[in-house]
Amino acid sequence: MFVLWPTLVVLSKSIDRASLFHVLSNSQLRQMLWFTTWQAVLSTIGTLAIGLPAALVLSRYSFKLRQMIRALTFVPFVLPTIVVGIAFASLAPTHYKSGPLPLILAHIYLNIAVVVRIVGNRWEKLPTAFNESASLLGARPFTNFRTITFPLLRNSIIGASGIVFVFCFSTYGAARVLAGPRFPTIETEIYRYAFYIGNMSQASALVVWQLLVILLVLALTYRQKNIFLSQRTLTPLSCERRNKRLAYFVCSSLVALVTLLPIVILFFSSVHSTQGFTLSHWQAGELWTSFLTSLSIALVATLLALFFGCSSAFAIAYSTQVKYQRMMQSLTSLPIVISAVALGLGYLLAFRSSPMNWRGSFWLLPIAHSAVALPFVVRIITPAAQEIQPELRENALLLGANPWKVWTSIDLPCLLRPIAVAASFAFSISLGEFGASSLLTRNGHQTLAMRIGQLLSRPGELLQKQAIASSCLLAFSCIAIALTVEYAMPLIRHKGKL
Amino acid sequence: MKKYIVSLLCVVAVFSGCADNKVQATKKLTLLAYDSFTPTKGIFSEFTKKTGISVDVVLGGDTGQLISKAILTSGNPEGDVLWGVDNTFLTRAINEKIFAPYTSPLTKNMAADVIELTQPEGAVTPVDSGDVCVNYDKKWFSEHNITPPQSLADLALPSYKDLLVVQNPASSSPGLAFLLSTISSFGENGWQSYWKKLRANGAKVVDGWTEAYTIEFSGSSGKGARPLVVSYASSPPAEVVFSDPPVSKPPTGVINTTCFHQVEFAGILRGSKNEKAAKLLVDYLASTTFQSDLPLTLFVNPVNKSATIPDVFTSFAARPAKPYTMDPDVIEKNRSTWVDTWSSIALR
Repeated sequence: MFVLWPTLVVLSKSIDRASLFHVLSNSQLRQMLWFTTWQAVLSTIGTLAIGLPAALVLSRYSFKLRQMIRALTFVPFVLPTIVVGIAFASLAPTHYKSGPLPLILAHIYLNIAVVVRIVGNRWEKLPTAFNESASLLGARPFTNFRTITFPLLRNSIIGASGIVFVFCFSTYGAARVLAGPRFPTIETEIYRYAFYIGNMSQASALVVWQLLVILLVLALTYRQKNIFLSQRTLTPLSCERRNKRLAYFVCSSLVALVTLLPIVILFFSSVHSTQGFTLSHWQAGELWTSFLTSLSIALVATLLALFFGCSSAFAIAYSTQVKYQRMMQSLTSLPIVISAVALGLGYLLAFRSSPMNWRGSFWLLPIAHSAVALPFVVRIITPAAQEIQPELRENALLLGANPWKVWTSIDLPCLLRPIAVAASFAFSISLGEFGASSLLTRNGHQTLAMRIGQLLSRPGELLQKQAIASSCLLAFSCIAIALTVEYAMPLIRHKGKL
Repeated sequence: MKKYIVSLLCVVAVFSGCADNKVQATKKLTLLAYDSFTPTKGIFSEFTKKTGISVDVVLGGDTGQLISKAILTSGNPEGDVLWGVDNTFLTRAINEKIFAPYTSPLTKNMAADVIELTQPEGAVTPVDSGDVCVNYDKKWFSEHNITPPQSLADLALPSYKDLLVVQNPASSSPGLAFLLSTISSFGENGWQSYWKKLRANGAKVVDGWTEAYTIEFSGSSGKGARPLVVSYASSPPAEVVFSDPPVSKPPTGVINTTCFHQVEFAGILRGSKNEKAAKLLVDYLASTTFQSDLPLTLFVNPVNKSATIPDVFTSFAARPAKPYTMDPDVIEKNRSTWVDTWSSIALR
């Protein structure tokens, strides 16, 4: 289970090595830091404002297509940010194509899924008894939410905000397309210093600053496990009154529509030409070869991420020392904490001399992908593993079951759903990953995300259309994965009943 | 638990795969190139047939990334031959000693001004050239009954207000080339005031070529609002070759007096264990066969004079008579000052 740590340690070392002693005294850089921070704060607030109601509706109420809509909210998160950026830029009215506003909107779009997943997962498990008693005692719905639901959800909301903030703080693709050169963010500046100015020490100094801010935010938003959670996901409430149900349906359809709109627009422009309907952009052979490459890389990356993720999640969940738990938590967060530029360069430096001269190896890619996916896997599985009551295990041991038996008959069934969710996350992240891996040198096997980047960097309408078709294929695959998990889960849970 | 076993197996499979690679590595060269290196598939099979050496093309990001990574790994390179350092990065690459000096004898087929760039060090071999120029949307100008601008100075005229989109020279290679054009044209003392005028005239700055050309420019797929964009002299033929639906004439044109001349080079990376074979590969890259493939795949001009150039390229690609050029040493010496000054004029 410590196989990944050496990688990470080498990474952090290679970053130290490039001299870090530049102090930020430059007013332009300070301005840039300030912009990065406030746009991230606003983006986080906006994401919560839209994500929380969506999480409420999607996790608490049952209605037709609920699972479908929940799956859809998941898609923007895994689309390559450059694609989202271009979709937003082409949708935006002329004068709002670039600047802080479109950037913040794009961030909200990208991160709704984080809130829906993390908060929604909790919300699904909150016992309703307290709320019901409160209602009986005459509490109005708002009071009810403020005094009972919110305190119970607070930790997951804070956790989700932390992650959203981190993403918005280290934004790269969307910032390049949408914020433009007048509004550099920390990650675009790292990139610029590293690759265009060739000033590695300044780039490293920025990496460290970014690291500090992110670690601080993650530490502030790290919370111990929640109490008052029921073991199992509750059956979603069906709404009694028709019109209420309708309202929820409309509300969540809106969320789904908003997430889908850019994709639908992309799809139409991929099958539309001035001569009418055409599928020619979908028939390019390279599209499907790169799709297959993407799929196989994603498969390996998912397995790796699950392996390392589960081991670390169990290590965190089963350990009794808070200190150790915290350390493991922050270690497994490293891949989202370290800037993609630093991660890419880290791989370059870490694997350069024999016996570890693996640069350009095709399997460096799935490893990089699994590293990026690891924090999510850990964050999804750990709380679930923590929620298994130790008494269950102890009773089983007392009754004479061996540890293996305990694990397979108690832990595993409880964890099947989170593992499946984590797998879908990892798979989709690998499909769309275009940050760290775009910095890796790689051979002819192109992934879908790389192909999109390559096509977009050359003139010619045909190539642009092919890029759009590739983006659609990516989005559709993510939808398919999310749907599979949503619909297959009830079956697994049923089978896994104790 | 199944998952554990599967992933363990996977790791094992992956490691054994690595062992296989090592064994085959003897008769194989790695060609490192930028992401948009897209020659015809199988173009290296002729080379393999002749020499018995197979070529593995690996892509390493854009030119800036490629060079930065090559500098970081100087002496222990990621490949044997590097394709794609241009005259704006050449001096940095040579100063950082990333190349084992080699100039192909095939340079005798190249123009004198191209060969001159590789002197006196002789570290690299020129492989292609191209020009960064302002492109214009033909339809927009004919619909609005305005003649397209004729020079750099025209771009600052009121009749072309809010029409131009350029790239940030701090993060984009065409952006830097255009800045160098203006510096060559207006001189060390004049270019700042030109850019002040350009900014006042509503020139928009975006981060990179993709944003400028595919989002802001009105003449290509994005159908943006601006009919003038900094792009390449060879963008018009690309618009024809990759048109959808097919067209016979490009929708865009080139303003010939705004161009900056770029030359790209290939070199052997210092520390390559196959230097002898690498020389053969550099020769192949400069050969007629490979050079003739360049126009319609990379949309650049071959530098080998005996290469054949397809009609669609010759008829639509602009060949500016007197593009601006600059000594790579001068570029390297001043780049960061120029870019900083430019940022304070055009961005803040």
